[in-house]
Amino acid sequence: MNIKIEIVIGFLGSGKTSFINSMLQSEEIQNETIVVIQDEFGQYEIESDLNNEKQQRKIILIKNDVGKEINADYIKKSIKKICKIDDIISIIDVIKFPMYFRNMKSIISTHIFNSETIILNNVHALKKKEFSIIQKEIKNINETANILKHISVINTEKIKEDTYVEIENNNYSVLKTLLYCTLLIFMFIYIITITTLDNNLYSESLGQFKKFYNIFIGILIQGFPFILIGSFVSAIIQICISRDRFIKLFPKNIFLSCIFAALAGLLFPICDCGTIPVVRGLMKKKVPIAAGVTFMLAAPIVNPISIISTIYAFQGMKSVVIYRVIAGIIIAISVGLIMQFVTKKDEDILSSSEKISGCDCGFCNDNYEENKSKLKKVKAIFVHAGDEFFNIGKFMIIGTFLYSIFQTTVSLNNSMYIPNDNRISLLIMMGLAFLLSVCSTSDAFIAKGFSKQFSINSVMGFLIVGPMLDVKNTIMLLGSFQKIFVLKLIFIILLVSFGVLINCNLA
Amino acid sequence: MKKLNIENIIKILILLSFSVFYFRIIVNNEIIKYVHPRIVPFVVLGMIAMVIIALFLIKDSFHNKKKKFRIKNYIIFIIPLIMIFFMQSTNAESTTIMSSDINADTVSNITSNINLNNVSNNNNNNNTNQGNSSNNGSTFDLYEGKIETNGQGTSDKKKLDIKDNVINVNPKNFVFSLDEILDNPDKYVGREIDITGFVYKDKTLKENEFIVGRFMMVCCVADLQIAGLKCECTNLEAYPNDTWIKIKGKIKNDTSNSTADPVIVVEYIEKYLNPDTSYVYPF
Repeated sequence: MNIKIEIVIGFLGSGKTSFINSMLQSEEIQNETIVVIQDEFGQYEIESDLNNEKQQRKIILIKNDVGKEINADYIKKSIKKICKIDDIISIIDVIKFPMYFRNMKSIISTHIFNSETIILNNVHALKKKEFSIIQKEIKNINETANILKHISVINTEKIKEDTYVEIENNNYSVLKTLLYCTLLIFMFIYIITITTLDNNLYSESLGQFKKFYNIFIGILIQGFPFILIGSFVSAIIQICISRDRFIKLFPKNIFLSCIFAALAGLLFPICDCGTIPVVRGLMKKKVPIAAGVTFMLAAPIVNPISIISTIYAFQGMKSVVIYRVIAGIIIAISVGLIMQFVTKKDEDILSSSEKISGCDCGFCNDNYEENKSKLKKVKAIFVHAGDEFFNIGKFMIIGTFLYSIFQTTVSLNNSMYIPNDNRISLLIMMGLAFLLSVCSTSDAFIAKGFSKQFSINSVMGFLIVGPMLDVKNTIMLLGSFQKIFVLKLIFIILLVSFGVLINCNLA
Repeated sequence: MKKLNIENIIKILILLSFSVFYFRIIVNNEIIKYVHPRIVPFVVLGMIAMVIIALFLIKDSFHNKKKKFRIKNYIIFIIPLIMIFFMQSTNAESTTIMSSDINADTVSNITSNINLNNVSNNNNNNNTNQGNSSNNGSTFDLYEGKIETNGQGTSDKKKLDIKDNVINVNPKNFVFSLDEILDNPDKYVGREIDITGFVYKDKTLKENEFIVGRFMMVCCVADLQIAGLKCECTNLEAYPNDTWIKIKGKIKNDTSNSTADPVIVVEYIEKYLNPDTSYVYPF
């Protein structure tokens, strides 16, 4: 039989030893043999002397954070064969948690991320509101862990007794899964009925659905390869280029690095969906926000394919092409710089669960090792690209889904109100860009359709805002960055592009 | 026995089924129904990448990470797969028809299905202020040629395919010819033209008018537009929407509006039984 190992981790004074003591007292394990291995000794002693027994069934590792980090090497391979990690328990003192979380976020996050059970101490000392904030924080990092809270009960014999109660969150998630399941079943039934019943009543909805399906699948087919390319670029950045070298690559001056980033788009013939994974990779490498944002916004506009398509769509109007590229770059750079100033220095912009990768490939952490073999490197690149693809892909699917619904239901027609005021028409074009732009390469041709009704200035709004912001894009951004950051970004993009475009006079 | 890593297995299955889907549509060339040929190499690359990622994941999937995971993340990926599965099975018939010769039905199918009814500014130019209230809700964008500032054509690199004074328009030079004619209406007045396409009518057109067009794709199905020329045919047989036809006629300038628009006066019209229904691409 395998020896079960439970690892208990936590900061100084978070109550690890007390937890183990109470665990040892519990009746369920009275008949088992237990060895407690302590890596560090705190102020409390383990009360029982169970260490003498010969047959080991359960080993409890207790770790204080002063010691080494737990990793796979710590337990050597031979031991691995006979042992099994049964549970990783992380103990958190909720009173100190906010302080630790602020100052040692990376350490505490890895603890939380890797544990399967999280025990919260001193819960009674906090107000409900504070406690729920902490709970949310933890859930953000590790959504699957069981969270328990410690309650001391004084029983009839006036002896303090510790119990650990599971915090009930599960009912909610069960309900959620139920909801998803019913939705799926409904979809099944819907599809089956419309495919089997072929009379007139259904043909219309079938037509609608097919239209929706075609758009949805079409965008997915052309979007996935680009996301994959983006993921690969991001993975390569992550794995092959060390941070120091990367920082050397980028010019020191922020403004210069922005221009550099804007022009880098020329080298990437990828659409807007492919740039987001790349930017995520850049952000993980701590590239200045300004440069990352600039790249994200400029790349879809300056990429060769979309320039060619603009030239084709607006043949004979070279000024449109030139204005699109130049205004695009200017807006991208200024948005990038503004974002740099409005985000605080140590503010996290990646959504928190992305920050700690649970992988042990040895390439992800900052103390990057050169001596890994080539094959391992290639493997790591592919696995990371896969992870990135799954991370971004789900948001892309949601975004495409919404977009396809827009496309099939919203219909604009000739009788649309055409304003004379330049400002309003520019705003309308920008709004339409958000809803209608498919992909930076085809935006030019969609925009051309508008050019009969709208002034060329407002069409520029479509051409420039379209690649930067659209439904699909926004969902992908929301998935990979902090919400506040994305909202700020959208607001600033709209503001800046409005400001720039209203002043540019294109005859 | 070690347990398998379920999360990895799900990932592998998703990746493989997407690549199988890609493979299928590439092999039976259905892919050009969805995306521009320019994107196909990227799709092939993506397909190969997915298979390789899946292979690398297989290696990892035998030691079981105990970490629980959220099935929810993967359900999202499964939704399009389910849709693809169902639609593929229902589409099987129409695709077989597609490959055979009877194409009219299929095309009508496509038209009614992928009605992209965004921004229909079609014919605003041709019939200004007429029937603006028509919001039939099922129109395609009408591609109206490039916008010219000076009225002079800029594309001198290529020339129209003119044989015996007849302009031949085939799928390959379709968009280009269209642009050329729309840009220089005066230059081609009185020329004879030979064009195939499907009939497209909407409420903004007069009784005896229709548009002979083809679907034009820039990037993917989401931006499908109809590109075509306006035709005028009096006392000839009228064909319903989406019939593929072959037209011979003379180009005339329609000066009823302030601008001059080329219109084909149809002299000869016939049903075209096995047309090349492929989309046309501006570049």
